Amino acid sequence: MKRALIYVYILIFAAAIVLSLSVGAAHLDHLWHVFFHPTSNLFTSDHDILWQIRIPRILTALFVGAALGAAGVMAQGACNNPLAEPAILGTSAGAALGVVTGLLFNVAAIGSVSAVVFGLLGGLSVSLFTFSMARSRDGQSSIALIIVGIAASATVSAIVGLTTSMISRADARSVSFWTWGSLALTSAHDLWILAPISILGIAFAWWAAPNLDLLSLGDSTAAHIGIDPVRARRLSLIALSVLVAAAVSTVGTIAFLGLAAPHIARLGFGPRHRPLVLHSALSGSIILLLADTAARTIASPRELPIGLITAIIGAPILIVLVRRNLEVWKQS
Amino acid sequence: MISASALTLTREGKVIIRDFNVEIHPGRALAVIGANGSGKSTLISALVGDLRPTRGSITLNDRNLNEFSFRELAQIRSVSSQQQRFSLAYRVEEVLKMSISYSGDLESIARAVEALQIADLLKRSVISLSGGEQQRVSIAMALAQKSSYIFLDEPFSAQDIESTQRITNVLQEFVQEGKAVVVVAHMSLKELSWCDQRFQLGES
Repeated sequence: MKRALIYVYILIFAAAIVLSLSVGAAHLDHLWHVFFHPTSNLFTSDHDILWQIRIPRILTALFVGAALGAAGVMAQGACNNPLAEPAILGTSAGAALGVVTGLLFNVAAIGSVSAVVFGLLGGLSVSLFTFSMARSRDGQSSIALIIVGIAASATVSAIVGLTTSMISRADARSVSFWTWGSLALTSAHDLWILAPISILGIAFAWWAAPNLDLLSLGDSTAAHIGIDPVRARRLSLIALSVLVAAAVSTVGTIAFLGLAAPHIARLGFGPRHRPLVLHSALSGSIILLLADTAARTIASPRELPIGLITAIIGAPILIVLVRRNLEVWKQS
Repeated sequence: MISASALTLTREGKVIIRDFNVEIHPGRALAVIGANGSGKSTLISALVGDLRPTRGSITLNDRNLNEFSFRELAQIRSVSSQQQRFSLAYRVEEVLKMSISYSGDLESIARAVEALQIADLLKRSVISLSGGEQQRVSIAMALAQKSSYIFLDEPFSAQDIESTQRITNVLQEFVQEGKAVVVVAHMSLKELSWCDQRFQLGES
């Protein structure tokens, strides 16, 4: 059953890539020729559009989607809460604030290593703040976590919005970029930073994941079985922040994906966190690639904010799947 | 031996247990009995290393309990909590494997499954089980850990007569093997009459 599902996933993944290669603002008459002959000098216009614009953008969507999908697993696992996601915990807003701060002081540029570092510091700070504020004597309160997270996220997002509105610098991007995200300005250059950090972050998440299985039994039981719940949670938050920083510093804030991808993957493949990291990364890649393809073609040549599309694609899928299988995550 | 001396435990500034002394010896069973709110769970939390005493000390083989790592403690004592929370749809066999994360001893799982007769639950989702079935899974997790000290908080609260007898038999076997068993219950049950020592909390 699961093996068959993996094949279906891979098939959808491949179909999404083919679709995304085939459509765009410009129609490429010789698409497959230039695709299979990357060094050919024929059809230079088609060649440049495919290899310098479309393929880097597809790869960016795949890496960002994978990073956010895996980040969602870390967020939900670390909080032991099905509602947790980078945007709700404040990780995304914190990362955005970190990057904008770096831009303001001219020590970081979008898509650079320094932007990722600033994003990591910002994301980790706000996530830890949310966690510490929601902590009570008996551990983490699910409701408190979500309320504090939404409040922290709203506050930090407002600061990012106000800052970018007031300084009006092109390199600091727009309020829309930090609210809904965009892949419109990505280039092949961004991949040199995004790809290795996403892969590193996913590998880190994969390594940290088994302890999240134990954390799902509650902090006391995890401790009785032999893991330090605080350390396990801290490692997951670091993995989460690295992944979110890689995504946010390249394409801005894309909400909802980190929530939807783990749920979709969990419904198909079960709750064990180590395989879930990979399945959720794959789900995130597929959703974001389809969303970006829609964002750049629906109102072509205008670009639509990708966050709106991820919500429109992801939310109904999530509702249908959860309605069909409500007994996947039981809240006590 | 686990030894608690002059133990005072507080929660949010309120004294729950005062000047309590107890020794838990291998090969013996201890029952801690008390009404709701008498401090049974607080006492167990301290004895298993979850809660630090406000005053007094708890030692395990003459070493302070605080000095043990999570991993070391997991190899020495295991705990079945009163209300074990299962939130994700793992299969029961997956949950049982989590309890042997360090030992990897599948045989100990097989033994616990057989003793508690929960083989028919192994492939089922743990969150689809009844309260009593979840409690038996929690007890099986504690047994599978192969520790020398087993703490069970209200292990019979959701069990029928047959299951209660089965759990009692398993615990007696563990004591005969030289392990220590500590059972917490809210009333004096005849099922605990076999215990070597009984403490009634909430009385002077």
